[in-house]
Amino acid sequence: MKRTVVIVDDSKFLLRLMQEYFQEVMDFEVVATGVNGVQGVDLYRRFQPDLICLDLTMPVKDGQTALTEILGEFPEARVLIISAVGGPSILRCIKLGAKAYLEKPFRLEDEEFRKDFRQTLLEIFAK
Amino acid sequence: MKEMESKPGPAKLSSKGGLRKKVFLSFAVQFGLVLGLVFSLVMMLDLYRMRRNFHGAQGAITKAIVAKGKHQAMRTGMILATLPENGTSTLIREIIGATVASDPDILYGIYMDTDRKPLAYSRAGDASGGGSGPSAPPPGPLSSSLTDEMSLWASSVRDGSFRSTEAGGEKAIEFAAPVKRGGLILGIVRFGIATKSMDAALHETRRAWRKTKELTISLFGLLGFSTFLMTIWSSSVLAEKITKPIRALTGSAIRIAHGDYRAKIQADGDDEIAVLAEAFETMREKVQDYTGNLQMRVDEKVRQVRDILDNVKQGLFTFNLDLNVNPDCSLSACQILGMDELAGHTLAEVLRLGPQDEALFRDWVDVLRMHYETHRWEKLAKLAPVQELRLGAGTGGKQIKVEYQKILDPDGRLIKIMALIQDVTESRLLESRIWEEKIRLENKVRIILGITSNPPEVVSEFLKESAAKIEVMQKSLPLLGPPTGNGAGKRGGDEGGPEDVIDFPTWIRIMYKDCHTIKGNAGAFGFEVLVELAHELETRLDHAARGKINWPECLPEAQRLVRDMKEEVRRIAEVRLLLSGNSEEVYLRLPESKIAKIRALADKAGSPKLAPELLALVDCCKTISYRSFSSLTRKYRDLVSRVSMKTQKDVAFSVSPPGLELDPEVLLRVDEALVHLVRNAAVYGLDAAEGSGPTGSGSGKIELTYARTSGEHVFTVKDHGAGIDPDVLTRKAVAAGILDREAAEALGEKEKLQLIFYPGFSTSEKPDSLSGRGMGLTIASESVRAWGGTISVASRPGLGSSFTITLPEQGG
Repeated sequence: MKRTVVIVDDSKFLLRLMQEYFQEVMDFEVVATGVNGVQGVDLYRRFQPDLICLDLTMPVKDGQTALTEILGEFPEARVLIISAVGGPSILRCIKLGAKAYLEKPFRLEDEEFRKDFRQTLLEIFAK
Repeated sequence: MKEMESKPGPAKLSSKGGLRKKVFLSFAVQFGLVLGLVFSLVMMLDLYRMRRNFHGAQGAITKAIVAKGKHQAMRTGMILATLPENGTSTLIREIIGATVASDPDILYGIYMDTDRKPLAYSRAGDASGGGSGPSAPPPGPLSSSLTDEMSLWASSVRDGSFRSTEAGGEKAIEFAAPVKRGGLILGIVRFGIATKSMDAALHETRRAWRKTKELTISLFGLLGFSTFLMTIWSSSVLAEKITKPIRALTGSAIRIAHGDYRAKIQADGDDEIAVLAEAFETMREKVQDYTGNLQMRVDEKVRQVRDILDNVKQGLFTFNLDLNVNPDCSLSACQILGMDELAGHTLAEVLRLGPQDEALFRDWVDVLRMHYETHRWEKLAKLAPVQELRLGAGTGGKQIKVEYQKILDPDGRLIKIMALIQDVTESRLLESRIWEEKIRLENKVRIILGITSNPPEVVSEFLKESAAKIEVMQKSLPLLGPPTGNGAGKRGGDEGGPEDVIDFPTWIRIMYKDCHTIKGNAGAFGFEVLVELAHELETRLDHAARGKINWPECLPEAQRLVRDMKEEVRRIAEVRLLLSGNSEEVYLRLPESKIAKIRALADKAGSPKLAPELLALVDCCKTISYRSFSSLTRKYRDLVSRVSMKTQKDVAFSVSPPGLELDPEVLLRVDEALVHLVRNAAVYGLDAAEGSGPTGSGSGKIELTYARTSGEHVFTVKDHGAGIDPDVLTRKAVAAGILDREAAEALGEKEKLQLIFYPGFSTSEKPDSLSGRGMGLTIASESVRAWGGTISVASRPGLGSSFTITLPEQGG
């Protein structure tokens, strides 16, 4: 049974990149993708995936608001924050209950970054 | 355990040792069992043997009596059988009586016929010879048959036989034997023999046996008891011997357990316990040594760690999860943070956090609490609100890098956080300088590329136009009024007429347009910095036009941007000047063959008969390839700037007269010499006042002059450095063996200075990439001489040196 993931990011390019990586390398099933916070919350509600990746800066509804709504409804949700805006905003999200974070840019060609990605997923699913 | 704690005691320990008791019991039981078994066996065998002897003796006694009785009966029977049949009753009585009398054991004697009629009856103790009849209870009268049980039994006897009976209250055995004659039984002889003596003998035997038995038993008892005592003693001794070293060891172990390591253990023997004791002693010594020196070692280590911490550039302190700083901090941490003491302060005080950052720190600690066990520390540490901080001006505006490390207690719980701090002011400054330099160089390359890849007149035009626009902006910016009620501004200040009054948005729009034009054109040339500056100004102007920003607030920034733009345009113009000279120095490129042809023709045509105009034309043609002195000497300018970049000294280079046109051919002849002279001047010719030589720290000035005297070209390279001391030169020359002392002393000052052209004569201590090996001036001199020229030097210590090259006009 593959783990399921919903990816939410306003960059279509990044969405495709992550979708490929999650499916082909991490062996996840990408059940849906969204481009803003509103879609993120809807998709989580609809699919209740094992993991949701949330970008922080997104139109319509930002990642932090989406995170708060998702966790309000599903306290056990596993949320991975993906952001280029570092520091305090990520810290706030982790404090709110996001499980981990990854920093943009998504340098998948970099071994260090891939290692970080793998390790981060391990940490999220560690019990 | 509890008991041990309650009485630590010395190594000798109480005798109630469990081990001792066990060993003792085991020995005792084993000895006891074995000895008890042996003793009982021996005793039983002995008793059995005695019992058999007793029974043997009893049987022998009985047999002896029986044999005696039988013998008496048989013998008497045989005697009686020989007697005649008649008249013999007296004789029979006598025989019987005598037999009874002869043996005190015989109680009675009877002879009876087959009808049990007693013919003779004698009893012991009766008068000799017996009587006519038994005096004692003969059963019935003599004349009548005997009917008692014994007589009935005796009458049935057909051979010698016996049976127990009783006579006169005494136990007896009656022996009966038939008296036969010719197979015919005549009568029965009966003797009663008292068993009294036999019983006495038997009794005696039994008594002796019993006595022996008692003796044996008591002997064995005694033996058993002494064996028991022996067993106890030997077991006790053995148990003591085996358990003593162990108990000693135990005692020592207890003392060590209580922190007393002085109890020495003596190990002799070679058994396992001795080996154990030896190992234990070694351990004790090590533990004693270790614990004895523990404090010393700990102190030593602490001192080392402190030393390291105090001497490394990194500072270190720890803080608790409540954001209070602990006393354990390094000296360098205090120094870096500019505080006398960190302990007792809060993290907010130490890191100069505002309330917002402090709240973030609390959030961070909460996040750490949640995830420190599952998440990688480096990722959590990255979330810390402060990664780098800038201290206030009071502490010199230091830039401090902060790194965090978790500290766990032995149970793996997060208890505090260690902060490693490092003063990175210098490295950040260096980084920013490198970055600025990189940007500057990149921009320079872009500027050069922009200038060289565009027609010079286009570049010139752009620069003129931009400079003019910027000039207007600079002047009018401060005069622009803020968007007041009617939104009007003034152009040209108060003194301008009312026709000059233009509303603010229009002005902004005009400036925006100009700015945009500059930006676009600069972009076309690739002048990136100018593009950036124009873009920023444009953005501000745009915002101002839309009323997004407050203009008076924005004004200083706009002014700065305009200033920077002006500076950048100036910089571009400078580069352009360097690349293509000023307008007078812009030369057409012509094929050399064509120039040579024109010059050859001019030489031929040059005749004084020509009209002055034609002569001027010919002259112009002759000098067609001439170039200004400044452009011809650019190479040396570059050389000076390269050297000064390496030595990091400020060296100015000037030529005079810069505009004089000169045949490049002439300069080619002195080029080699000039390269050496100029380089020397750049390296050594620094102001004497501020230090000379490559190690001095000062600025320099190099002048290259050209003059044309009658038939000669004269080049002079002059510096304002330390000059050359002629005496130092001669001393060095003498030391190098170039000339002897007398010859040196004979030289005049000028001649002494000429020594500097001597090959291999260097004033520099060691060669490097700048100063040579003392060959430069020699080469310069030789190269000039090849064209028939000369080179000379004049110098005054402290005032600089001046090298002069004189080249004949028609050299070569």
